[in-house]
Amino acid sequence: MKNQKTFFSFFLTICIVGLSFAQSSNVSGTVSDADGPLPGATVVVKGTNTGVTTDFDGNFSIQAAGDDVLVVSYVGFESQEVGVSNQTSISVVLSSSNELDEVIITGYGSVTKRDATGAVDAVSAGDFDQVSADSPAQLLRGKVAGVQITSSTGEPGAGVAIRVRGNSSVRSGNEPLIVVDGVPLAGGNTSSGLGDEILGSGSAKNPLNFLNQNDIESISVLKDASSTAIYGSRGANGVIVITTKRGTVVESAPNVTYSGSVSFSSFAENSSFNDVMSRSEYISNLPSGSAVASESGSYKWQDVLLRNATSTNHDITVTAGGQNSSTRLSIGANLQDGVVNKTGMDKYNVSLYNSYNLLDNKVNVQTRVIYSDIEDESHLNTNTAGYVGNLIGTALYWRPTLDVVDATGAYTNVSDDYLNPQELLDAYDDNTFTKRLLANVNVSFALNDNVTFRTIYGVDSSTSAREAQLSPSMDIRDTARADGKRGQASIYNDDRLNRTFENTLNYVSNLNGVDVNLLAGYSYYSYVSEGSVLHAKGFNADQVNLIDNIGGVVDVAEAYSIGSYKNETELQSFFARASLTYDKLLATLTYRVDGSSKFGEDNKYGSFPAVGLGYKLFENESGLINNLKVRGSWGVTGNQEFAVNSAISKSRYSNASISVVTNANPNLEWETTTSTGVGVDFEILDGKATGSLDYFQRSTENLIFPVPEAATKPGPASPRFINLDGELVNTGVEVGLNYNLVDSSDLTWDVSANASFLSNEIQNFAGFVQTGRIHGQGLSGAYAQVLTNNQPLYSYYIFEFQGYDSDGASLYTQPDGSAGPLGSASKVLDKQALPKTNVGFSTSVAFGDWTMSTSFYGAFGHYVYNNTANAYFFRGAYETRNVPGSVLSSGQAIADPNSPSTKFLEKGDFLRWSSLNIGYDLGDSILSSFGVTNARVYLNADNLATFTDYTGFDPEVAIDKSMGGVPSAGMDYLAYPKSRTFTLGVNLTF
Amino acid sequence: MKSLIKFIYCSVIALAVVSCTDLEEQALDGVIPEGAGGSGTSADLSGLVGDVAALHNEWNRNLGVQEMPGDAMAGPTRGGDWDDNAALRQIHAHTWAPDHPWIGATFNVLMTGIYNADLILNDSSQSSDHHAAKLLKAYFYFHMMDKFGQVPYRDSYDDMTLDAQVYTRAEAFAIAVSLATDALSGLPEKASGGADTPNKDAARMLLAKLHLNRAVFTGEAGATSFTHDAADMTAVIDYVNDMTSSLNQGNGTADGTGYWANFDKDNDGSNELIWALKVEPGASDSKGFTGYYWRMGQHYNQTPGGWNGPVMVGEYYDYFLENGVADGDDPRATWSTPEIISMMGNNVGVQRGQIKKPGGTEDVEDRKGNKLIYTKEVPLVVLDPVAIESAGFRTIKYIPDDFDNANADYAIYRMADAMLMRAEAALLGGSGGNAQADLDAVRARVGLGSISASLDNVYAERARELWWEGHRRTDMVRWGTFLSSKELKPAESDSKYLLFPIPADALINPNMNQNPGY
Repeated sequence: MKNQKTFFSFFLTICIVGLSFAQSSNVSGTVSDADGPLPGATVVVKGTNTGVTTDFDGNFSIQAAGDDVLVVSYVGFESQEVGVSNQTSISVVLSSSNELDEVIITGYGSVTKRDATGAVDAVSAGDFDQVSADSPAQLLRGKVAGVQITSSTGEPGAGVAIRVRGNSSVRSGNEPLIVVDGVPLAGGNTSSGLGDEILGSGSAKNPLNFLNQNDIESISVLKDASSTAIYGSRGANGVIVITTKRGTVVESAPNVTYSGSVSFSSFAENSSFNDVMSRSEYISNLPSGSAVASESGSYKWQDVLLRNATSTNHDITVTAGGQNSSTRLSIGANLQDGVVNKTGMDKYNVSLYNSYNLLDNKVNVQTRVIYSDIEDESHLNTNTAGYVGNLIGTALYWRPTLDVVDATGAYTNVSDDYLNPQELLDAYDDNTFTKRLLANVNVSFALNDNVTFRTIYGVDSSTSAREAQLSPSMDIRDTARADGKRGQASIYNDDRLNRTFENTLNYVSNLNGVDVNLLAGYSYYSYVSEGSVLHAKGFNADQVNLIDNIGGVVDVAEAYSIGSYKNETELQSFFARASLTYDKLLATLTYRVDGSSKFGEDNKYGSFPAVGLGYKLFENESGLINNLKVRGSWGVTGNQEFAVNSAISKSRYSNASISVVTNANPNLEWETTTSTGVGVDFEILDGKATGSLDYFQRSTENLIFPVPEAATKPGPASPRFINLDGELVNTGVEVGLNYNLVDSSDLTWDVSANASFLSNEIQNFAGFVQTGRIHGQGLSGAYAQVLTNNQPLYSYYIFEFQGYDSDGASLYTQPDGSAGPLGSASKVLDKQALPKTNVGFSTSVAFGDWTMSTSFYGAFGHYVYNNTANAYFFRGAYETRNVPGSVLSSGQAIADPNSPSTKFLEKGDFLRWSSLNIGYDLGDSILSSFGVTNARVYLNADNLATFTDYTGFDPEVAIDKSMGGVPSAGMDYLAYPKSRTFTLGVNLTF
Repeated sequence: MKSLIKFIYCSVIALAVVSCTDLEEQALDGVIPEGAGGSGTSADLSGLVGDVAALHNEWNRNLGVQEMPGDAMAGPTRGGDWDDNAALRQIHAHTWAPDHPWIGATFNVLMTGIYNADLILNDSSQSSDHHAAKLLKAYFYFHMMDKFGQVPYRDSYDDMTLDAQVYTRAEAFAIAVSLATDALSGLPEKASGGADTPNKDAARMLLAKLHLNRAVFTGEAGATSFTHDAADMTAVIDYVNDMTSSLNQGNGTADGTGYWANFDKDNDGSNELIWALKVEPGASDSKGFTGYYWRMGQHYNQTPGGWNGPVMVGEYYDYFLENGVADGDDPRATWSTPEIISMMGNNVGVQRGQIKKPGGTEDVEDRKGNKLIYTKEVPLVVLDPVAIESAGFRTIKYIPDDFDNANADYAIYRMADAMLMRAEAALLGGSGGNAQADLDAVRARVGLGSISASLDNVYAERARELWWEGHRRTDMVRWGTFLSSKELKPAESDSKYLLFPIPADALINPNMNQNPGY
């Protein structure tokens, strides 16, 4: 704490030193819009760093010379330049800008939507839902056409799948490149997943959790090759550019803001959820003479598993500006409890931004440091649980006639494969500690009026430890050692060190009426990944702290298994871009040459060209159509998110013998995506409506794949990665619309909506690749999805269920179309796991001091495989295990097996009312005696309702059911349930 | 301005330092083996024998794909158990597809063997093992032709990024005959008790099997009747005539002792074994495993315990009741000794009816407390709640030793098989054999009387003599009965099922074509 204080006062000193006094005369005035004064507008003397912000009545006072020009700006309004002309009082009326004028930060530059030649979009801080988002990706959800955000589960900190214009890779990763303040992040996780042969495997946490929502200024999405080709071999999946907040650009005293909120979360029950039976229903279905009927206990899974969770969030931000510098410091604490017991995420952030001008403003040095410390508390939420179950599985199957704890406080013990959920809850612990530091220095240097040289050096360092243990007090089948000793502990350490070094030269000029913006650059990136794992099993029966005393294991020689890994990827790139504007014609030409150590020896460098063209058919006209630009783009991008060491031969030692891991392919290259797109950006109806419409086609070739063992025969069993023939084609239409319904002096009402329609197909592909592993009793080797020719990725390939015959045996579609037994049935291939349509809708109203906004999003046209029902909900499980009442009335025979089939395939369509926010501006009157100049209170509701027919916890789900490194989609298996959250918050400005 | 220049200077230096990377990839947590691009592996004969073992050491490899698609074995689903995504039912009902896991695994096991044989044959320092490697390579070729009809190969292993080429069935046949002939010339005669070492009798047996099936392997795909060349049949007879192995018979062994000496824990002394995988707990050269021969079918509550899985189909058991033989009188299906009853409580062979505890007096019950009575009738999905655990006859082919361990060598080839092949060849026009004498000898060895030497009787005798030894599918294809309707498969199947499909994964090799119909 003492250190923090010291640091804080040091920081304040810097700010104050930065202040200085100008020498000109005093000019005062007011800034207003059509509705009245604008507090917080920025007034800057053009060409200087001298500036002020307006007070609550829109008044300002600034030192300026008689021939100076003042630049007046305000977020959401068009900037205006006003000559002082020796006046001492100036009134400025700003008019509101629209979507087309929003500045979008792109790769190595920025552009307004009006002038963009590519498909780009952005969401800025004002558009964020006031949810306490774990990950910045969630802030984009439902906001940008063509971007799908899918939370894998409802657990705090859980992984989020981001898809920009669909899935373009078979198994090399479909996550977009994330660029934070100019530094491209390494793909992959920063923390470890779980891997246990008996208890199952669990997913890693979302690596983007390290960013604090409060620090994010804007998130841009670069969707087409014209805008992503500048990132070359990493641009194929789209690029998300995150820009963090900066200090004020004007000279001012330190400005302090505080935001705090408290949230209450509870299980968001889906009205279509097919719950297991209550105690009374369970008993009423028992046959006469059943031994279970005499059980007098009672149990509700919700009581053991779930809780009403409380979370708190605090952010303190200090910004200050001086003549040559500006600074922002923020400190945040986000303590989030999950609705499942013993889960949650505690996150602490510090973020520092400083900008300093020197050498007559020719050199600008920006420094950013983001540090986060995250503690994730998780539980046994495994993706691969079997008959024994995981935390949620046991909670569901434990029958409601049995107490979990008897009168003496002891756990009710049934057997080692029928686990007591309360005992499992208490006996298992899983914590992940992740510390991440992202720091970069960005120096720009104006060589003359036209040429700027910029260099960025960035370091991204993280360490993570995941620590999981199962107490020796609990007896789970097959977890004991041969000598009967129980209890196990696992420690996974993962360290990352990523370095970025980029240099660019930028030339901006007007040559013969052509606006020219040229960029050339060189980049070097190094990504080092290393880690280790330690498992131990067989502890003293009364040992409690296994993780912190792992040496307590009995009979050390047999107790441990250990491992470690390390790898490094280096990339080196040269790139250039020309942006040209002539009258109404816009053109962007991009070229990047990327080299990567991951590529094969004979294929170290790849070239990625792109071109974007735009033409403004209408520009600043009045009437029906005000602005309309057509644009088209073509480009080639790559995907190199395949595993390190894929192109070389590699052997590893294991138990003193050496074995081949991979075989070399000196020709291995990146996956290549060729994109073509056309679109229009428009502003119509006297500026009331703006929007975009896009059509695109993306075709990915050179699909990277390990040659399956059978295809490389005769040959070694270890794989070789090859670029497989075939194309993965994504075709889509995107539309985004914003409409200003009412814009009067006391009421504004905006709506915005977006939709994307996507089709995905694999073509000219010889493979028939299985994925979507199904887990559960009697389901070994079962899978639900395939990748095969002329089908979308992750198409379901399973038997078609046709009901039950009179004996209660399941019937399936036979090759001739009739219904018959499984042994002679044939599988069908006609349903897809990827949504065909994604929509988002939001609206906001401002009325006096009140604001209200609400958002919806949804996905349609896809199916979810309910592995939970497949594994646990069958007639034969009752009377031992709980099942939904519908299983008893289904007509299924006690002995009929739950074979994987369309019985468990459900429509995944959903529309979610994702947020509602009501805010009230208290102004400065109430709390001014406490030094508060502005205060706002708000009430937010998150995940209010979901409209779906899906019978699981939630249709928005993506449990990792990959096979052989090939990911799956849309599979549900004991997913952590989603929560509904109400938040009460306050923002204070001092 | 000076500091400006200094700044640029520093930046350029930094740029130059960093940009020197050659992007060479390192294996920081492993080693890059010599000769990148090659296979990076080596093989030896012991490992190659291990590849043969891999074909036989799991019940759902050779045994599963040879016996379950035929009429002998079925794997009923029992409630939530033994569903396995329909893998067992598909195999029995002839509805498998290229994604069937057993088919893919069997393909990989066979092709791994061919690869390792090539590594040995390409290594002159292992020339003393080359004849054995040729025998094993030919053996794997036989199975590839038999099951998949085509064999991928490489002329060179220097550039593994090239796709393998593919031999047709007829090309592979010629190569297999040539390899086995070479092996025969260089291998030693079988030593006493030496069936677990590659030997001349093994090569003769493989050559006899190749010639016996030549019409199938080189004929038209999808055919169910064959014209056998008399020269091939004579070759079969000649190779069997040359063998030094012999039936276990005489000295009062016709009560079954002679037959079961092939499957008991001390079977390595049986001169009837032509070629075997050594099974001996703790021995470093022990390659085989015969434990699943009782585990797979035995009920959980039986001694020794098992997995309560595959059963012998009722109509197949009826073969033991033909020719007026009473139920229980064919010792190949029903045999026990006082030690066996004391140890397990039940006979070896085919277990039927009430199952007993060790000692043979107390009844065993299933997990719900019902009497454990194995019934002849069994559907592919057992729906009757009482019969879930008990439906279907169970078998013990290899006898566990006193400690519930596998300790009997696995018989790859057996003399009784060779003699029945010689009888078949004689009936199909080969010269130099005596079908009646061979058939009589095999039956007399288990105390059964003579029946006429007809092809039908040889077929039925093979069913009785060689039950669950992994030959049935090949026999049924050769006899043209494989596609016919059977107890648990009412309709005749499509002719595509005469061959297994090429596993879906293998088709990524563009030189590989899927078998017709799949």
